[in-house]
Amino acid sequence: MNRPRAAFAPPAVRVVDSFGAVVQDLGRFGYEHGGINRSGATDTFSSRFGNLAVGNVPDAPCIEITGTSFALECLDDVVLAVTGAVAEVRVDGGIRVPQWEAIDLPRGSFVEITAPVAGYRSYVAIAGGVRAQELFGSVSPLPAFQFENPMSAGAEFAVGDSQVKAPASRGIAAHAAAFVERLCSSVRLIGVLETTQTVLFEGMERLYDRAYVMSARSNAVGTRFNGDTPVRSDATELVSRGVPIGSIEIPSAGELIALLRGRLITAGYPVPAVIAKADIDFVAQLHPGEAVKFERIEEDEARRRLTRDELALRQVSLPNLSPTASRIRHCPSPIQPEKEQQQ
Amino acid sequence: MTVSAGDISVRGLHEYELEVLGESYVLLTFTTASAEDRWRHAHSVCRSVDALSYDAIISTYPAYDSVLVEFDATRIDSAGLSLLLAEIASGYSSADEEWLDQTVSYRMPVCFGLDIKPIAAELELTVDELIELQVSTPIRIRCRAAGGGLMMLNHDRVPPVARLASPEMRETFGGEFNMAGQQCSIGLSVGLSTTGWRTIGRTPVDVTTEFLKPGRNSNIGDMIVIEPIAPQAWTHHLGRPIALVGVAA
Repeated sequence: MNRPRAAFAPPAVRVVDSFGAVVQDLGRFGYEHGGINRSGATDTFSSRFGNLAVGNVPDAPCIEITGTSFALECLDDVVLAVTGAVAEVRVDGGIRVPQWEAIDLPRGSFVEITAPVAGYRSYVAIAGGVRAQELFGSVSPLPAFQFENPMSAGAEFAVGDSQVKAPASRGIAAHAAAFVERLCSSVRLIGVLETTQTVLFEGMERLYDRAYVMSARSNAVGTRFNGDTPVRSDATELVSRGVPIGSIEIPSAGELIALLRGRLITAGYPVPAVIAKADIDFVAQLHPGEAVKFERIEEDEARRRLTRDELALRQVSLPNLSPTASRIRHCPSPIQPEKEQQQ
Repeated sequence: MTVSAGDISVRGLHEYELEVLGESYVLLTFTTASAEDRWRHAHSVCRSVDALSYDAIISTYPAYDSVLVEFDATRIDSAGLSLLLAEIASGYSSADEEWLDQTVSYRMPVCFGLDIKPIAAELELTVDELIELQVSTPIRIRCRAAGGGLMMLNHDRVPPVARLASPEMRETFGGEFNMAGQQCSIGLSVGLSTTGWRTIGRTPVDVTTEFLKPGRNSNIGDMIVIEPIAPQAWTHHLGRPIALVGVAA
């Protein structure tokens, strides 16, 4: 999406604590013919939810935090939402505010997000979106071209013009309940759809009756798993072709790669299965050392999951019809009791 | 109705197969005997699909012989999308290939080395023979990809080079001249990457900068003329833009 470039705006937020956080939107569309891969937020349900919560277009630039804590200071009044991995979000050192809700923060507020306790990637959406440099119409990193917008400690950034409506009223977190419940579940089950290239493998049943452990060698291109994989039985050379986001590659015995949104477009290794699009967000929320199992599903079920998520996001965008609905506002009075405040 | 993977196979003027990949992708692969025909058909059909401007189609990607189509599965299912693609694939004509008339040729200096000796030995060629095969005829850019870079198909006279059975993680510097099967490429990846391709040389041209240039630049269909250079000439060519040498025949 081509975002309008606003005139100079003063910084609205300063990053206080960060380790590897970057600015993300939904990536680049329309450039793949030229070899520019999609990239974009690894968990698009969470990034879109956060943007919709604060009144942004769903693909507004937001902050993606991977596996660590994060802190920022508000240099101006801002509205933000924290989504994705389950973490503690505290304002001004004490008051805990909920995730998956729009929070009004006055200038001077200090926001801390702990390292995740469930899941792996957190998202901070700010009303207006983060102003950052673009390449081919997106702020998302392109490692192949050494491009990214890092959120380093000390960096200050302004907000853009991506807010198109008022932030959502309180209560929208209910639309993320199913997502969060699955994130907190002790059983990680990822839906996959088989392709005709299963015939190139022996022992496909292993994909479903064994657990696979996420490797620390994973990145935005793909999540690597170790485990007892199916084994390639046909070594016929395959011509490189485009492969879906969510493709499962088994390049060698014992290793399995789930290609994510940073995938480099083509592959010459067989793809025996593709992760259901709605479940890619859960792969994005895995952390190294975590175990998953795959379950074979059919197209109807995959479409049902996708539709369920899209409907949940649409609910976030709907105006709240309750006359008493309110947003969560943080009031930095020193005498406030330690519970969330609302007006 | 759900179309099972591989259900649709057409035997006719343009032979192709349609395969469902997940709930959001369909892969259209041409199976005609000629590699050249397969490539032309795939890219021409891709252009026809794009020309529809059907907003349920999220992206398309044409490669050597196939077109990957990504679609919004909340709006259309794979069966519906497959029927659409089948209609387009069956209906296009040579008039859809006029874009091939606009291709141009570039000269790409390559310093051969790296794994060329063991690869030449595997192919039962001398190093000079392998280099001669690579430079004897211009090679056409078949597709472009972030990792693969400028992806091409080698001449039939160049024997296929086996892709690594297991991809290995290694440091890449950009501009590597890689081979896998009958494919060859001028790679883009810089840094640690996992690849099954094998490397026989490298170009001093800044391929990443060339890749990102707007407008007409090493487009799909353009021809690459490989110019072998000695290591001593590396510095002379370093950072220079890829040289346009003419209109492709």
